[in-house]
Amino acid sequence: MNSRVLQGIFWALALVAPLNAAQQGVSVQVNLSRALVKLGNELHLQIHVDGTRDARVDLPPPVEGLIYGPLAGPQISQVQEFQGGRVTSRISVEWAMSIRPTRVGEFEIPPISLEVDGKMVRAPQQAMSLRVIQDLEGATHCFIESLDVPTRVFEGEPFDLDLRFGTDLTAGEVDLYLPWWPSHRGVLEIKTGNPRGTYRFPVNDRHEASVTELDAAPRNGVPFRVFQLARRYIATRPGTLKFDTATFQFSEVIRRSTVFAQGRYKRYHAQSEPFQIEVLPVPEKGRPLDWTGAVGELTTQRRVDRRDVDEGGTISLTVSWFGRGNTEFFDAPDLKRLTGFEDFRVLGVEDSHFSDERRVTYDLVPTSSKITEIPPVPMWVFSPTSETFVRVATAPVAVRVRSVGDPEGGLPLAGDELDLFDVHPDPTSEEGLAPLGAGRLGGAAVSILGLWFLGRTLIRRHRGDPDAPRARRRRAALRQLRAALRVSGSASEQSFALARFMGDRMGEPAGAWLGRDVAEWSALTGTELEEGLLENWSDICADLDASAWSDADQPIESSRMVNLAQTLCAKGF
Amino acid sequence: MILLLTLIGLCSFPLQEASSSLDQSALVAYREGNPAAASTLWIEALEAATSAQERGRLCYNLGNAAYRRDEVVQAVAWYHAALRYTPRDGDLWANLEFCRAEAELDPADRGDLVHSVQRLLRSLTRGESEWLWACALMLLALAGVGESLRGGAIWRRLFLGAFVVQLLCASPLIWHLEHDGQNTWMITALEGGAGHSEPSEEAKQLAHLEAGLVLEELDQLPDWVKLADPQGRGLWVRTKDAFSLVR
Repeated sequence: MNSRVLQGIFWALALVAPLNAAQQGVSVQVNLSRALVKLGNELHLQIHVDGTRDARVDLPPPVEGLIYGPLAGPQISQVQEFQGGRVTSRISVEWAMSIRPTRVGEFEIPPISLEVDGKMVRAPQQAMSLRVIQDLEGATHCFIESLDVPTRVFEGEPFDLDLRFGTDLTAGEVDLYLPWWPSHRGVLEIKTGNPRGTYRFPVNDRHEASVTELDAAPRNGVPFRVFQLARRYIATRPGTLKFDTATFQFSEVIRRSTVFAQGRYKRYHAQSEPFQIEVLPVPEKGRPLDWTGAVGELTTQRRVDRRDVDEGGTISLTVSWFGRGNTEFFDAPDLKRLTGFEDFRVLGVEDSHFSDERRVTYDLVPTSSKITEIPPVPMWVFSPTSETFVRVATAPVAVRVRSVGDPEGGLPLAGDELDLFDVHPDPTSEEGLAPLGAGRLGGAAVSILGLWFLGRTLIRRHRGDPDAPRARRRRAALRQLRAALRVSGSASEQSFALARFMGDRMGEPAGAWLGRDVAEWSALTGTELEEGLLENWSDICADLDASAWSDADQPIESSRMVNLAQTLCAKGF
Repeated sequence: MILLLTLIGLCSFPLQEASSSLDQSALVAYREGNPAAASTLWIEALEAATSAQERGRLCYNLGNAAYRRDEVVQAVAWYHAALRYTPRDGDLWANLEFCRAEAELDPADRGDLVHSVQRLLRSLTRGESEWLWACALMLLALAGVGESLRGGAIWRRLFLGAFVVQLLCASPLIWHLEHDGQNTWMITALEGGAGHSEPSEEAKQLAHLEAGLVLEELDQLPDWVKLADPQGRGLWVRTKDAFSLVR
């Protein structure tokens, strides 16, 4: 049996192999990477299906105290082996999911449901047991705690979350696991304008958070490096906000990574206590009708760009609301609806927010010279401290409004200066430019682009690149001839100019046309030139030669050559 | 054919005469301090007017008449209607901004970049926009011929430049195509208009629409018009509280 036959048999067996594999049994394995872990450590749920690729996994049911990571997979692998004259194929599918315990205790993870080859399978047969123990060493070397967390806030009231964590160990890596990071339902983070921190630590393996290092503080007589993660939030809806256990992981470096070996770390964990905040709704009782949603302890200030203004001039009134409150979220007062502002026109409003300040600038135009002050701008604010609605108002601003054009001075009043332009009395019969039709124009635009593309393609295909040096020389030949004849002072120069013209037109060097017998050239190349033209051309060449080879080298009449050149160009040479 | 044209000419001549007579009567009434009568006559003339320029002029005059009747917001609406026909009329813009200031509305042209571009785009009528684009297309065609026959960097740049120019020149027409089909209304009731969920006074009032607000028409029934509010909701408004800007 030659090698080609053996190769054929091998490939035939390889093609049949999947059939063999499909007939093999299917097995499912589900297990935990570890059954005993320290609190703070992460473990993995591994799911392995052997013998088919047609498998789907349902997410495991939640277990209180365990946080599931995303399900990674499916990862499909296929192996073909040739053993003992048989080709066997193995296919397997794998998934993995991280699990992070949030408390000490014993847990039972129920069997996982899978759909394998269209059949529902539950694996393993019994629930998986997991035991989580306290990391006592971690609690000695690390800590994490939440400080001054309020137990209740009102909807819209800002509150601070001050998370402190630290360690007495020196060299290592820090990881934070915060179940409520980076976003938590029912709260919005607000920017405080404080320094955002001195370090950026990884959070939940996927995010980063800026933290500030505080002064070292002793704990049980040992100095600890202390870090602070401070954020300000606003509760957006009534209910209970739950903040689950946060974990601080410090990986102490035992041996650093090198080119030849991976580093070794010893991990310590510390957990904070979970806490919850009750969010109360802003009470309906006593709520003023013109309350615009402000909550907090706010004060107000006002500023104007000028106090002495002409009637019809503009005053910019800037009102700022400061303090601990939802400055970004309430509606600023509408001066058009406030009493006291009837004699002002509000031309524009510019609204901006800076950290703990809300700043609104109103462009006011006093319409009467009787105005003596800008009235207070009031606003109702719900105070969470006193649980009442408080009216905060700016102080009035004394202004002077001058009447433009004192009547006693004989000048017209500003109000009388302005009036409508008169009606247009004369009927017009002008039709203006009649529309051409947008559709037609659109069609024309497309046609122009299409014709341009078609034209340039055809021209380049049949005549070559019009911008090539040879084509440019050909186009410029007649112009160059005229210029050369204008400055030539001898028959030999004229002869060379004519030769150059023909060279440029025909794509040949000028020297090829010096002394060439045009009648012979015409006969050889088969160019059908009229007798008269050939005779004229030959005469011009003969005259040029005769003059050039005489002692005088007198130029001949240049118009003869120009006429000849024009005729040749017209004939397509 | 000649007979038909003669008949059309004979029929249209009395119409033009009547329109001119209405216009003169309206002008006399306006000069005599009777803007209400002038308005009635100019509205009749507007219905008969066929030329865009004439319609723009009549809308402008109606704006003046409305202002003289102390209906400032309605005057603003008439001026906005006139802008469709005579967008570069200086008197019209001056009266419009004056009346908007009187009605305590924001200026029609704030002078910022967005408003300046908008004003530039609508400064041409539909016909002018089309002719502008046609000229730009001719330029493009010329540049295309040159580029095809001559090639070279200069002609290529000229062609690209002409292409960009025609895109810019097309923008007023695109603006017209986008906006001309819209039937917009302005809320002219001084206290604003009530936006109802259904065309009935008993229907729930979903929004209060401020005077001067310009909204797009979605539907119309006798005495009621359905307008799209800034949130995109369709609200029914009494036609007496609103003013169609397409005249």
